[in-house]
Amino acid sequence: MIELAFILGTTLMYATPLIYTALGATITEHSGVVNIGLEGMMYMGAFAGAAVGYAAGNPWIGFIAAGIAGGLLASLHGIACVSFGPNHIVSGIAIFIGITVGYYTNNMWIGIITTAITGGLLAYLPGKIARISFKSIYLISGIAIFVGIAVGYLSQSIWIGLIITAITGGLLIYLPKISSLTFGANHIVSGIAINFIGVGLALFLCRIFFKNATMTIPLPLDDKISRPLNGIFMENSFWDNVFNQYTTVYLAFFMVLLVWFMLYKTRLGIRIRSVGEHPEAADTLGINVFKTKHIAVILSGVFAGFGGAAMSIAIVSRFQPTLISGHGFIALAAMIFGNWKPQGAMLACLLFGSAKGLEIFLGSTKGIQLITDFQQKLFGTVLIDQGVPAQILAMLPYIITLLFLIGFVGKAVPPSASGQSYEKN
Amino acid sequence: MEKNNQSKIAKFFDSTLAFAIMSILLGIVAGAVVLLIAGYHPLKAYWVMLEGIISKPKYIMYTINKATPLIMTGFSVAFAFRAGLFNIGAEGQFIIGSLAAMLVGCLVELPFAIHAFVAILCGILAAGLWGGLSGYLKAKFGVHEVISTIMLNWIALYLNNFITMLPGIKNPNSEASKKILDSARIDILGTWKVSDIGLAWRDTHPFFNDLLKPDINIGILIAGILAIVMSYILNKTTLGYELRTVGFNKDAAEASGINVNRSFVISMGIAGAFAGIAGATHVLGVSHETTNLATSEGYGFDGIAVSLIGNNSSIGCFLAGLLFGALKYGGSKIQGVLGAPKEIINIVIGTIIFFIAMPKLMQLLIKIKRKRGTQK
Repeated sequence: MIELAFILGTTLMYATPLIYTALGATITEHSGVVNIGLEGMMYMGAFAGAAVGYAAGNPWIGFIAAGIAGGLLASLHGIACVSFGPNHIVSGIAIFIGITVGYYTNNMWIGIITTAITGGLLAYLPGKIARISFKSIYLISGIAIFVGIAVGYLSQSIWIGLIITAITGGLLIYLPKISSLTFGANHIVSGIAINFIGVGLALFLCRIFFKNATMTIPLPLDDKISRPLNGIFMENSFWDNVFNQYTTVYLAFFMVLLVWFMLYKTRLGIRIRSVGEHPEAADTLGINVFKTKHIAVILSGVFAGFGGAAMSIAIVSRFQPTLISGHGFIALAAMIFGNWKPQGAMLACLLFGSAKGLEIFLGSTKGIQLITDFQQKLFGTVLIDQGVPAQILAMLPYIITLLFLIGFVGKAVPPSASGQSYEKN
Repeated sequence: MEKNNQSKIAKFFDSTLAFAIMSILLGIVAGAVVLLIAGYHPLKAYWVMLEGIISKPKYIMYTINKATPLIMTGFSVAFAFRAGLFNIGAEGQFIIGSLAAMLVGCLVELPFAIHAFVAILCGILAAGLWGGLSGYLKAKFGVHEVISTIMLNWIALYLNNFITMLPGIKNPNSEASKKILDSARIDILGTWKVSDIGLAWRDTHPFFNDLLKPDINIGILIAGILAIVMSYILNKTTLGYELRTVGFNKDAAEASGINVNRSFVISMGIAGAFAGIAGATHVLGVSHETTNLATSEGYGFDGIAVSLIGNNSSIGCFLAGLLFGALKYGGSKIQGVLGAPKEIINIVIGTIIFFIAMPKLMQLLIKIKRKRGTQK
């Protein structure tokens, strides 16, 4: 019985990152944007979670940072597939670049000027693309730069200067003409690009911040996500094995409820779904198709970031390159045979978690014992006495995914406008 | 009328080649920005990269070596794209191809050249089946090929590890299989150049000495042949015509009597075969063994990037593959010389694909140029 508890416990633990990511996938798919880039977003989330968690000494700050990192990466996907909408991202980029340059060069002025120029440039380019008249473009960027530098100088504070530039640049970009620029990217290609960028950026940043290592410094045990039910049950009892989990696990199931509620019981939810089914109709009803899609895409990034962090700060305690290894795609598969519903995705993730749990169990001494006994009873002799080879076990989750896809996909119904870019005429 | 008035420059900018070049430039710029933020001098970094590729003949050879598998996996992905399918499984098909070639190379004894030929053939068959499996799953069960190929990638990885570590195959001294027999090798003058006669000759011919240092193999020639083969299949055969039609519009293809399900299986199978050749030649020419892999080596995923940048044509993939080989090989030098993480190359590559994914961006920029021209 204790073996069953062990498998159940491991199932819950491994299903959790998948659940977060699959929830993100559900939201974005409902809005009609296919997100293959979840893997890259999980990478960024895992790295951000581990790195910030280590630096801040608090895993929850890391968790939130992971969500932000995932969301930022997702906004790139949004820009490519939906429209040039999210202007706060632009300001954010300007601020970030300015701060980093200022920090590294240890010079406030260079920092301010960089932000100002970045903000100005980022205001200039889309203006050019949207064919706003020449004079206005130069004026806009000029204003942003000037205001930023002036305020920065006057207040003798780099922070104020940076923020003002970013806000000015960002606000000025907030022109409807630019926001609804569609680039019409193929969702899958953009997703592939995001995977390259996400993985590359995560490893790159890891090397930069952790002295050229490809893994982050492990979080000390106290700094990991807490286990709220630790100590309540008797050590190693059935209930302890199953329910003594990290908080992220419980949070995941709560999130399933939250996302379900959001999608099916709120106005935002119905907007997301309508935009994915028939964007033209939604548009004529006055729903801002671009904004809704952007929200959905960014949310998916945030959730994927959480999923990555759930791996790096809860299960393992650090980020390493082999951490994610395909879980982003498994989450996508989970969503598909959860029939694009949060509850279904949750069950599918539990299934994969159980495959992983089975893999670990069958590889443990108890598991090998079980297999040997089983063979003894069935065949009379023991053919394989080392248990199932580790590599074959490792294949289990992926084989099970395939088998279920074969059995279930035919009956699953995606949103009608899935994968299509919307363009206002 | 406007078209006739288009200058040669405008026509150039309209072409897909210009589009690809622009995306590459933008990717390089993005990489420069990231390097700058991280505190490294981008021009220095790129210069190191360039030097690392062309300053010595052996560097050029290394670049070609690095590019060869990428070109062929690029063909694999491109072929599938032309047939309307996303072959993300080039990674797994590469591994299966290399596995099959290793097994034939180690366990079977055949005379020189025939050995290699049979090994590659087995690679083609095995990987072709692996790819065709995805096609079959799509045809019969509607499983999306992106997900089935990704699952098969991981299964292939663990299968490789399992077989490599089997007692009869594992090399007792390393985490790898036994070396393939010499008769199976396809590198040029591989054994000669380390023999006494060879070394003596090399001492007196410094240029060739340098040239022969890396393991050059005939893989690049095979890649060239494959380019012709791919082009021929797609453009000059009925099968290729059918596959391309399915790629353009599978409902119209079905309506005109083409068996779409059969196309899925065949195109994924051929795509798998291309990737399998990549894996087989890699084992026979460069690594001479298969290793216990912790993660996949990325040839297949890079092949996706190659085919996207190469616009899914055979020449495009060939050139894009060379570019990638250069980027990857040069990129590894940046870490050694400057200390900048070599993952900057991934960011550059990702950004290039990102811009390639947005065709409208280029069209919009071109429209501005044109509009300004007519506004005069």
